[in-house]
Amino acid sequence: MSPLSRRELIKRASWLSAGLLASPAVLAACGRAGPSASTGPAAPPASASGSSGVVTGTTQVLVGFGTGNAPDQIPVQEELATAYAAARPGASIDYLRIPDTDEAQRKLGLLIAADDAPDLVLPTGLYGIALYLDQNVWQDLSGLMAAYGIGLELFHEATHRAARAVNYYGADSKAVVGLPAGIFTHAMAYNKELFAQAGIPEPPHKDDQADWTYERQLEIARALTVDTAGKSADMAGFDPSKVAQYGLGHWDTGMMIRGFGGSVYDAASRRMTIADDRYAQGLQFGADLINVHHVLANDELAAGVAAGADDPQLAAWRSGKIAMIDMCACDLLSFGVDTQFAWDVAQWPRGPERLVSHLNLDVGAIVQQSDGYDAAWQVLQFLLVDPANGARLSTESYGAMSPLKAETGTFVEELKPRFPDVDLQVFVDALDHSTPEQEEWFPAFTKVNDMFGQYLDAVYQGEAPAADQLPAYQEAAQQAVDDWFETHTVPPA
Amino acid sequence: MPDIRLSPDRREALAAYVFLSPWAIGFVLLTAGPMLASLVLSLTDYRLLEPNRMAWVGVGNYERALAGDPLVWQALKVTAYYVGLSVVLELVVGFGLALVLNIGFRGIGIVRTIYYLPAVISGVAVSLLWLLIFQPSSGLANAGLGLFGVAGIGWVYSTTWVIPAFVLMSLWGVGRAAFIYLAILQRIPTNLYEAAKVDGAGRFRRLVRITLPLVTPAIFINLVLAVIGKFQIFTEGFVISEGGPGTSSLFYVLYVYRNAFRYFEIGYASALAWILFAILMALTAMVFWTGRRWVYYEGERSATQ
Repeated sequence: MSPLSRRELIKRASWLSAGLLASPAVLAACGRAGPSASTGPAAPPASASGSSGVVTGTTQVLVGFGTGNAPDQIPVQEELATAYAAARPGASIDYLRIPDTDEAQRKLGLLIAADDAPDLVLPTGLYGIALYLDQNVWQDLSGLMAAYGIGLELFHEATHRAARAVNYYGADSKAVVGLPAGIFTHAMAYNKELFAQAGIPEPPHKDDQADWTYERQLEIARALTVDTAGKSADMAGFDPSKVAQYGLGHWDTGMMIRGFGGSVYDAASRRMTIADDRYAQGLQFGADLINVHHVLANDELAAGVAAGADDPQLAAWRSGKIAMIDMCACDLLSFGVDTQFAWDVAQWPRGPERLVSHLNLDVGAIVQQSDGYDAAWQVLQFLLVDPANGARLSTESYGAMSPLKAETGTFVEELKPRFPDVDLQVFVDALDHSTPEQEEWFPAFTKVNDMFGQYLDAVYQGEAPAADQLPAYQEAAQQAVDDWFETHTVPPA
Repeated sequence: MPDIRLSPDRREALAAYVFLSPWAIGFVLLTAGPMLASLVLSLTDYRLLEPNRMAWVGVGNYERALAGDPLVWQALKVTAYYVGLSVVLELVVGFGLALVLNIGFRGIGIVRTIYYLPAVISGVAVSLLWLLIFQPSSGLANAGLGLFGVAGIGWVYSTTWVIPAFVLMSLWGVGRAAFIYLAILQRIPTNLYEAAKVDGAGRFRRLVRITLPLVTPAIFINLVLAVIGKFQIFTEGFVISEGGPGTSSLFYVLYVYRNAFRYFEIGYASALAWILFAILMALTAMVFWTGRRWVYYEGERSATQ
């Protein structure tokens, strides 16, 4: 054989490379056999028949879709895992903890694609559910529940609509996307000392006060927003560029849109309802709190009154320079501690159309791609349906209200020793007017949510009125929804 | 066993294959293979969690990106704005810094090390540091500007200032460019300066007539590296602004990432990645083509003499 010339060497190396290149490309392009691509609810797996046989093996539980990974929260979960293993020889719970919510939500998709899906996600808020609802990720639990004689009536009524994901499955469907694991309602926390100094009566703790409205709250916020010269926002000469204390902070103006009667999506007509006048009014009202009335500190403004923490809103509240904030029950162990002033909670004010505040529901959901449905179901039952375990997990670990009807009151009993001066019953009473609408699924959920900032940051920055921005947002969002319906269908009723 | 005898040339060729093979296998399996796979995927409607829905769409993803997705053009516009400003700034500041570091004085080694340190510290931690610096109310940037009576810049919270803020952040890694300049500066024969000085050339003239022409190879390599590197800005946008406010910092790679790992539209994201690849190839080719006219290679010149 003749020696290789440089040209020949390159030629052969090229062929070798081409051959090697082709193999991973073909493998990747073919993809792995995935779950059913049907757009309807997946049929319950053969093994998820509700058999009451002995279940063994390890159930992997992903913790990271929101709460559950703080150091204080872990011991109770571990104790329950130990109790589970003791009660069921051969069975165990393995927690897969991902502390960052965004990372956890992204990781779930990648784990599923890599055929390494966890069996359960617990807890997950409805936002986390909605991210994956139309991608055949969550197992419909209705068959298992029926087989075991477990109905949603075990849980508080406020959880039913959310657990049934009615925008996707339909109002009449029996499908259940997850078992309720914890309820977080919202109240308005207020700095008692700032109210006392200004001689303003404290806001109501019951939701039966007709005059506790957005307008009244704005009036108070103007009196409690003070510049460095000591002038409040309702006084002449107030300098909005030198605010030393804000009336409002850490406030979700998105919920105010609903207080004005606005909504995002109408499932019946498959229409986004963003350009509706009520939506525009609510949005503008919220934006004006920042840019016109100068009483609401957004993150940027909050950083200006108190620095030093990762979360400027938390730093501003703890510094005592914010009079009123939205306090989710899930924030009690952050915003509710390390304050150097007296504070309490009141009900959210009433909007022009309705009295409404957030309901954040956490559920436990079985991942369809799990290969251990029966074991996952046993774990869900043990952790969430058993009254003692369910109450411990939701209240002691998550700091939530137990969704089990019989256990809802344990929230106040459990947290009272930590917050003796706070009227925790406000959170329980808020159940009557709380809604999970803000996290409910609609088509092209992630894309349309991303568009919110794209189109509406300008409104919140005072650069454009809501009425100017919303038609474009409506058009783009509706286009995304229409595109979704071209390739997907919602499950038949 | 059969007696295999190889000629010296073949033995050398075989040795070349053997020594090259670790890199070649790594390149083929970990770089070229996935690239080719992504090229194939870019021609499909492949969604990560709905693999059975995968369909061949030909150039459909490319059409969608270039004709039907306004965010692609917005991302390109934002990225081009950033690249334009940051590349020029890096070339100029890097050169200026190199001139300073080229002056010999006691402790210059320590100074050079200090200037290069930021280039090896990057990523999320640095992004968070800059976020604190650019806090409008309490950050160092506005505090400094306040001394000169400038107030109220919103930096990363402002649609107007967010890109200039990122451009200033990009100076964090300017030490790398400066060191490439420095390597060339130190090879310039001092007798050229001495001769020019004898001929009456001042400092500025010596800089323009001697230094600049001789560092054009460094300018060239810094330009190529900067264009490619800046177009791929991701971490800062991901950590600090998430593409906002609005879409004012929606960098192209951030948008690719969003499609791949938020919407799980791998086919479309692959097409977006290949569009970026094509743009970078074209820009790099353009730089190389124009480089013939303005880059001075001493070796080439002498070879033709």
